[in-house]
Amino acid sequence: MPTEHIVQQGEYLAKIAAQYGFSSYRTIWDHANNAELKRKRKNPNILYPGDKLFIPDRQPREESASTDTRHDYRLKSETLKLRLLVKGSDDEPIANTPCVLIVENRRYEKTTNAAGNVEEIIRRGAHVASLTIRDVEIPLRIGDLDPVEEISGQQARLNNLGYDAGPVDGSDEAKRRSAVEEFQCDHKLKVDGDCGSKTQAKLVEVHGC
Amino acid sequence: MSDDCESLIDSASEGGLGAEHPPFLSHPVLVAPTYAEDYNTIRAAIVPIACWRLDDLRFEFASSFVRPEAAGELRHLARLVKVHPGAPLTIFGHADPVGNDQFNKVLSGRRATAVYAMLTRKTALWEELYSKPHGQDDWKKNKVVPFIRQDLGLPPEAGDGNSGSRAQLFQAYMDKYCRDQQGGSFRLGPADFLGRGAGAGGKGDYHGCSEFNPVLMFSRAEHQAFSQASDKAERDAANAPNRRVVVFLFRPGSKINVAKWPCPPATKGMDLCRKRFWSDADERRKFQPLRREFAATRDTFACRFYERIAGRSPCEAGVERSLPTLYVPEEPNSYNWVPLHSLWVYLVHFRGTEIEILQRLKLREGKLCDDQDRLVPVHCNRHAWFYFSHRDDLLTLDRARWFARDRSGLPLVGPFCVPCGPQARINIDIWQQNDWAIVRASRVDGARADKVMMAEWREDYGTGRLLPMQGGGIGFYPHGSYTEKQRQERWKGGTTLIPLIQFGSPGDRPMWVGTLSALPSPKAKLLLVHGVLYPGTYNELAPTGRNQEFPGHHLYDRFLVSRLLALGADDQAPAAIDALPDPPARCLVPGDMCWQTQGETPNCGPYSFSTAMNYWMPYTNNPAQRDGAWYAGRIDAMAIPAGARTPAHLADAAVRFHMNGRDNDAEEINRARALKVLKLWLQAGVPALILVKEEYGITSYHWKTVVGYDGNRFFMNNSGADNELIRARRTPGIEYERAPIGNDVDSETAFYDKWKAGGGDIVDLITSVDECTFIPLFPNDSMFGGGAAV
Repeated sequence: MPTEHIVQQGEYLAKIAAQYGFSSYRTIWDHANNAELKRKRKNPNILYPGDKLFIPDRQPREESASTDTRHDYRLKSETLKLRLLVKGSDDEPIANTPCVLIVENRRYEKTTNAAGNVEEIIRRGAHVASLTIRDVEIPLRIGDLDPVEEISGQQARLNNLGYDAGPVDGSDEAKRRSAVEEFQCDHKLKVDGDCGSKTQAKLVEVHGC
Repeated sequence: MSDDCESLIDSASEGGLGAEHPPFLSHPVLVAPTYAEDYNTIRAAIVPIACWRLDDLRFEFASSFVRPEAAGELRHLARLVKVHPGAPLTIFGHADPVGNDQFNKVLSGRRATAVYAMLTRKTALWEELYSKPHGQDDWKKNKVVPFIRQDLGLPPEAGDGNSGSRAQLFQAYMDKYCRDQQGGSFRLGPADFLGRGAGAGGKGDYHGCSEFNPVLMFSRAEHQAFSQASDKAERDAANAPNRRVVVFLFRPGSKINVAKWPCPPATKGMDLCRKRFWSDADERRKFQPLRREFAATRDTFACRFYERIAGRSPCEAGVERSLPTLYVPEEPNSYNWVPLHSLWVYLVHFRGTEIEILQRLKLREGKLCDDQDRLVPVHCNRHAWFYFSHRDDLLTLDRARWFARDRSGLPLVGPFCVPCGPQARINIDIWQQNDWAIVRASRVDGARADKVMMAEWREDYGTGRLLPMQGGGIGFYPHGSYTEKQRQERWKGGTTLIPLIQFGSPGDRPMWVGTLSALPSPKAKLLLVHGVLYPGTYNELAPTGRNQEFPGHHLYDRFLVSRLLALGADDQAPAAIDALPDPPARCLVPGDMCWQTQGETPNCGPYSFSTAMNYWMPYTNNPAQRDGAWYAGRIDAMAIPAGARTPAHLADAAVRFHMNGRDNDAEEINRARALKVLKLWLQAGVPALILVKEEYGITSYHWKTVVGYDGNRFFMNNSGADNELIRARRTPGIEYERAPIGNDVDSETAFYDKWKAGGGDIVDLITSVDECTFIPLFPNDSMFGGGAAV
C-alpha cells in the first residue's frame, strides 16, 4: 500500500528513501503525487518537518536474460555526498589544508582542495558528523538544514556563514535580525532585517544550498 | 556594578576595565547532504574573547593625550594579551553625544589613535596628533610636551623642540607607562592587531566610532535641562561613561580582509559607518522620554556591526543576573527540549581556576531554586559550570579537588554562558556529554505501559539505584521511598509482582537523564545504560569518540577512614567507638553498584568482592555482561579455595588488587557498637563485604555487600543482587523466589514477619550477621590508587 510520510526534523529524502527500501530517491521524488512538494522544496535533501511525501509501492523489476549464462545484477543507487566549503573569518577559503571528517564514527583523513572544498560519500541516513580543521572541531548535523524559506533555515545558513544568528529555536530575535541585516549589508541588499525572497536567494547562493 | 561580578571582570579600576567575554556558543553546523553539486559553506566567525576599556579619566581633559595614570590599566591589558596569545586586537574610540558627528568622529578616532600609538610606540602618530590640533584637543596649547618633560624629570625648555626631539620624548613617555605586570616593557607590533597594519589609516586596527555608540542616553527631560544650563560641566560629567576607548581581543588566529572590513579609518569615512547602522538607527540616536543605558535597554548603539562585537562585552554591557531555565533534549538527537528537574544542581563560577561561587541548588521545572524553593538569580553573561546529581551531599567533598575547572574531578558540564533576560534559557545537550553516564528508559509498569513524563517522577525522587529487573533490562529504583514499601506489601499479598517505578527495558521513549557515575576512560563505554539495555551505546552518545580520564566521583572520606583504622582490627575499645560521631543515613552512589550474579556457583565471596570492586573501578567489569566472573577467575587463580571464602581470603584478595580489605572481627564488642562502626565505614564512602548467617531450612554462611543504610535498615547488594535473589540456587535443591531487595534475609516470609514484628515499619534486620564480621574494601592510599586491577 502506498503511504504518506510526514517529514520529521533531521530527515532528508535520501534517508527516507533508504528507510522505505528504495534504491533511488527518484522513485519517490519524481512521483506525480509529490510534484507539488518538489516544486516547493526544490532540493530533495532539504525538507521541513511536516512536509508530506507520498511513498509509492515498490515495483518489482523484471529483467529478461538468457538462462545459460551468468548475469551480475547490481543495485543502482545514486551517490550521496557531504560537500563542504571551509572558509576562514577573512572569507578566504581554507585551501589545501589537512582535516579530519568523522561521519558516524568513521574517520576520513582529508585535505581541502585549492578552493577550500572537502567532500565524502556518506551513508543514506547519516546524521552526526564533525570536521576538524586547524585544531578546531566543528560539529555537523547532516539533514538538519531546513529550507531557506523557513526562519530556522535562514538562521542555520547565517550561522554557518559566521553571522551568529543565534540558536535556531528562535529564542534570540535581536541576534537573528542583526545577522540578517549584516548579511544584507555585506551583499548589497536592501538592509531591512527582513529575510525576504531576495535575501533568501542570496543566502542559498552564498551558502551553497 | 555589584562586587561579585568580578570574576568575569578581570580587573576593574576607576579608569577602566579588563574582562573576559562570555563564551561564544557555537551552534552545530546544520548541513544538507547532496546528490548534486550543492555544498555547505562553513565560515569561521569573528569572535571577541576579551575586552579592555580605558575611561575618559585617563585622558587629558577633552584631549587625546593619555595620562600617566593609565599605566595601571595598561598593565591589565598586558595581562590580557599575555593570557590570550595570538589573539589579535582592535581598538574603538567613542565620543559622547554632544556636538556634531563629524567633529566627534575625528575626536573619537584621535583617542583610539593615541592608544594604538602608545601600544606600538608609533611616535609619528602622536606627532600627527600634536601637529594637527582638533578643537580643544590641542597638544601644543595643552602643554603636553612640557608636561612630559617634567614627568620624565627633564629640565624645562623654552618651546616644544622639533619633531625629532619630540619623538624621543614621546617614546620615553610611552616606554615609561606602557609596562606589563612585572614592570617589563609592554609593546605590541602591527601584526598583533586585526588589520595587521595592512589597512590605510589603521583600518582594522584602530577606529573612531564618533558618538554613534553611547552606553548612556539621557532622557529627553535630562537632555533639555542640560541644554538650558549655562554651565556644561555637569552635562559633561554625566556623559563621561560615553567617552571611552575599548579594545577587543579576538579568537587566536582570527583574520580579516581589510578591504572588506566595515569600519573606516579612525578619523574619516562616516558614510561607511552609516552603512552599518541598524535600520532603526535614527530612533536609537534620539533622546527618548526615558533615560537609556545599553546594559539594560540594549538600544543605544546605532552601529549594528559594533553591537555585534560589543553587545555582550562586559566592558560595554556590564554583568547582570537572570533566572535561566535549564533545558535538555528529551533523548539523543531529539528536538524536544524539556526542562530539567529532579536533580540537584551544583553550579560553579570560577575566577581563573579558583572556585569563586559554588552553590547547590534545586531544580523546579528547569528553574534554579534554593532549599526553600525560592528562585535563585544567576550571573548572566558569564561562564557557569554545572554538575547534576541525585546526591545532595557533594558539597562535603574537597571542593578544590572535585569542582575543578579542568574537570579533573567531577565531569562538570560547561562552560555555559548564562543568558540575560526573563526568557533566558540554557540548553544543555546532556547527550553530547562524552563523560557522563546517562540512564534513559521508559516506565514499564503494567498500569502505564506507554510513558511517564519526567514531571511525574519528581514526587518520588529520592536516591535510588540501578538494578536488574525481573523481566530483563535494568531499572532505576528509588529506595527509601514509599514505593519500595508498597512493593514489599504486594509480595506479601501474593499479587502479581509489578515493578513500580522502574525505568528501563523495552524502551521506546527515554525518561530520565542523570549521572550514574563519572565515566573513567574509553573502557567505560559499557557503563552507559540506554533504552533496551544493550551495551556499546557509548559511541552513539559520543559520536566523536572523544573521551577523558576521570577517576569517578565517589565520596571517599579518607580522614574518617584513618580514624576507623586507628580503632584497630579487633579488640576495639568501646570508648574510642563512642567518641566517633554518629553517622547519618547514607547510601553509596547506587548507580556505581553494578549487578553481579554468582549464578549457580558457590562463589558468593568473589562476587561480593566484585560488586565492591565495581564501585571503585567501574570500568574493570562489564555490567552488561555481569562478569563478576572476572574477579572470581582471578581470585581462583590466586589459589584461594573455591566456594565461600574466609574473611582472610577476601582481605588477601584485596591486597592483590591493590586495595585494602580490612577484616573487622567485631565479636568482642557489643552489637550496637559493631553496627556503628559498620555504618561509619559506609559514611566514609566504603562498601563492606559482610558475612551473613542464614537459617531458613538450611543454615549457611553467605557473603553480601553492604552499600548503605537509612535510619533502620541496611541496603545490601547480594552477590547477585536482585537477580540472584530471584533465581539463585546456591544450595542444590533449594531455590529462593522473589526475595526483597535491601535486607539481609533471603526469604520474603522471614523478612516480612520480622518487619511486621517490628511494628510494621522497617526495623534493623541485621540479626543474623555473624558476629558482625565485615570487610570494608577501600583503596590503598589515594582515591583509585589501585589503578587498573591486576
